[in-house]
Amino acid sequence: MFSSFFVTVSLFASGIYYVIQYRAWLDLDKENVLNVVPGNCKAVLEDGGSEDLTHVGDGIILMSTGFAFDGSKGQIKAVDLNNGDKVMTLNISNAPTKAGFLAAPHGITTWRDTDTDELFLYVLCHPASGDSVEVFKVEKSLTLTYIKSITDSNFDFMNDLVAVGKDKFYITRFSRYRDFYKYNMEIFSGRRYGGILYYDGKRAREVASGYYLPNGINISPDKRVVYVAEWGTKTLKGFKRDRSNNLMEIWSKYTGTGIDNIEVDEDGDLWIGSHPITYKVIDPTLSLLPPGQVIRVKMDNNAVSDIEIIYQDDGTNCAGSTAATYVAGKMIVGTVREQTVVCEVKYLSK
Amino acid sequence: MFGFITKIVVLGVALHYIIEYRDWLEWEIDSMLSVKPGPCRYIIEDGGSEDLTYIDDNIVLLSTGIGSVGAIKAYNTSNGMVETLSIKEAPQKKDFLRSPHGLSAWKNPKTGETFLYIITHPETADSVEVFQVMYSPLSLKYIRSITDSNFRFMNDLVVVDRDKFYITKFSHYRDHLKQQLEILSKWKSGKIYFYDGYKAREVVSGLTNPNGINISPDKRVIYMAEWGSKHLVAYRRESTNNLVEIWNTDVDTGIDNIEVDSVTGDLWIGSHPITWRTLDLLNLLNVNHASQVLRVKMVDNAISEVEEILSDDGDFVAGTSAATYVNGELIVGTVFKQALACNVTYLSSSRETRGHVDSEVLPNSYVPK
Repeated sequence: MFSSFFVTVSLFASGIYYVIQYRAWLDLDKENVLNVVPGNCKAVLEDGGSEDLTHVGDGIILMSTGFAFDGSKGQIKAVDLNNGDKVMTLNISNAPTKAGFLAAPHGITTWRDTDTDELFLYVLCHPASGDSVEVFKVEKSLTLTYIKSITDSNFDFMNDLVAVGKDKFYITRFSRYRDFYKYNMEIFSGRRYGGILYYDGKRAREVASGYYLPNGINISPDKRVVYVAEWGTKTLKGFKRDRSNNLMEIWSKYTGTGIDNIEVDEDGDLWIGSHPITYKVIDPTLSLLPPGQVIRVKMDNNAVSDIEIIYQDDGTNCAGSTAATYVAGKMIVGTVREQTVVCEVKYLSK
Repeated sequence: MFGFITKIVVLGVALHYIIEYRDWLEWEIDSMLSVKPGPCRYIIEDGGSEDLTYIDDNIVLLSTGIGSVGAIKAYNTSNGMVETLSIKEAPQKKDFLRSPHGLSAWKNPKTGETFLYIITHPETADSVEVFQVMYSPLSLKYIRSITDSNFRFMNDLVVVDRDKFYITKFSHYRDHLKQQLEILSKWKSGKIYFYDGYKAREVVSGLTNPNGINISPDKRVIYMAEWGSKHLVAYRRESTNNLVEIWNTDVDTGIDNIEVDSVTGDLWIGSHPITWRTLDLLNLLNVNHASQVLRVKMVDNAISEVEEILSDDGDFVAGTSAATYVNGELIVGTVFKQALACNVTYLSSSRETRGHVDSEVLPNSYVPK
C-alpha cells in the first residue's frame, strides 16, 4: 500500500516537473518582448524573408530567400549596404534542370580561395529526394555560376553549414526526420538526435552527436573554434577543432533565447538572429506573429564574455528573426518568412 | 467518482496557482542579457538613489541613503557634477531624513518657487518632509513635516499643488521581515491616498504593493506602477481629486518609480525584472539584483509602445528603481548600489505610430481597454 502511494506520487511529481519544463521551453509565460532599437531601421524586403545571410566583403550581403516547408524553389539575393541598401536577385547561369534545384534554401556559407581570389557559395537546400548542398561560384558581376550539388547518405534534415576549405564544411543535422509531421513529433519528444557532420570533399562523417535541434554553425576568425547554436536547449556551444577535423565541446553558454544562425564580425564577436518566444515561432496552426531579436555575443579568446541585445521587436517590424550580421555601423537582420531589416547601430560597446 | 473529479479539479487549481506564483517570481530567468543606450558612467558609487526627478536648469535631484541616514543630492547635467545639498533650518529631531524614499518636486506657477517633497521612514511613523529649493547656491530650506495616521509604509508621491499630493501605500507592515512576508503573501493591502493639505483620504484600494506614481503633462491622468502585480495603471483625476481607473496593462516586470517627460509625455521607469532576486529574503541568497529601464511612449495618455533602454544582470548596475531622460542623457537611480549617467546615442521619436496601430498586431496587453 505504501509502495503504490509512493509510486503514484513520484509519477505525478515527475509529470508535473516535465509539464513545467516544457512550458518554460515553449516560453508560454511570456506574452511579448519589449522593443530595443539601436538606430533608424527600415525593411529592405517585406515579402519573403531571408533565412540565412552572410557578408562577403565591400558591404555586400548574400542571403538565401524563400525557405518554405513545401519545398518550393527559392532565390539567392544580395543587399548592398554601401549603396543605399539596394536589393538584387542573383541570376544563376549553368543551372541544372532537375526538379528540386534550390528547393527551400536554408543555411549558407562562403569560401574564398586565397590563391585564385575566387569566391564560392554553398547553399543547403531541401529537395524531396534528400538534402543537397548546392555549390556556386560568385562572379564579380554578382551572378552565380552553378558548379555542382553535394549530397550524402548521412544527410537527414540539415540546417546550416560553415565552409573550412574548398568543398569542405561542417554541417548541422537539426533532426533525423524530414517529413513535416514526423519532424514536429521529434521536436515534441525532446530526443537528442541532432549532431554535426564534417564533409571532407568526398563524404560526410559525424563528428558530434547527442544534441537537441542544433541550428546555426560558424567558426572563429582563427579557424580554431567552431560555434554552434543549439536552438533546442537555447545554448551556445564552442567546439575545438583538431587536425583531423574532429570536434570536442569546450564550453557551453545558456542564453535563454532560441538562437538560430550565427555570423562572426571583424572583431570576432558573434551576431545571432534569435527567437525569444518559442511557441510563437513553432506554432503551425494559430498564425501567431513571432517577435524578432538580434544578440551580439562578445568573445574573449574564443569564449563568451558578455551577451547584449542589440535589436528586439514585438513582431510588427521584424518577425521570426533567424540571422543577422554587422558591417561598419549597420546591422542587417533576416527572418524565416517575413522581412529583412537594416538598422543603423549608433552605439556598440567596446 | 465524484470525489475523484473533485480531487483532480482541486489539484489542477493548486497547480495553476503554483505555476503563476513561480512565473511572478521569474524563477525561470537565468540572467538578463545586456542593453545599453550608449557609454555609461557612475555618478554615485557608494550607495543608491531610490528616486530622482528633473527640476529644470540642468538639475536632477536624487534621494539617497534608503535604509540608513539619508541625503538629497543634485546632479548637474551640464557639468556632470554631483553635490550633497545642505539643508537650512533643519529640525533638531532625531530620525530626521531617515531612509529617504520617493520624492516629487512642484513649482508654483505664480511665484516660480520650487518645492521638494520627500517620503522618509523615521522609526515611529512615515513622514513627508517639505523643502523649498533655493538657488545660488543650490540648497534646501526646510519648511515642514507632514504626517498622517493613515501613513503606514509609503513609497512614492506626486505633488499637484502646494502641500497637496497623491501618495502610495506600499505595504501595511513597516518592519522589514514582516514586509517581505506581506509581499510574498500577495495581500492586496496597497492603497493610494490623496493628501489635501490637512489630512490624507483613501482614493484607491485593493492594490498589490503600489510603488511609483506620477502625473501626465496635462495634469489629467495619474500613472501608478503596481509593483506587486507588474501592472502599469492609469487613472483619470476628477474635480474632487478622486481617481477613476482608465486602463491597466501587464508589463511583466517589477516596475518601480515613474518619471514623465514634460514635452513628449514619455514615461521613464526603473524596474526590477527578476523578482525573486530583488526579494532576497533576509539577504540570505546574496545575489545581484537585476536592472531594467523602460521608456513607455504615450499617445493621448495611452501606451503606444514600450522600449527597453537599459538592461543588466546586476554586475554593472543593480536594483534600478528610477530613471529620467534629460538633454540626451539617461540618469538612472538604484535602491542601494549606484547611480548612472548614460549618453543616449539614439532614441526613436516619440508619438511615432509604427505603421499600423492594429490591435491584432500590437500585443493585446498594450491596447487600452
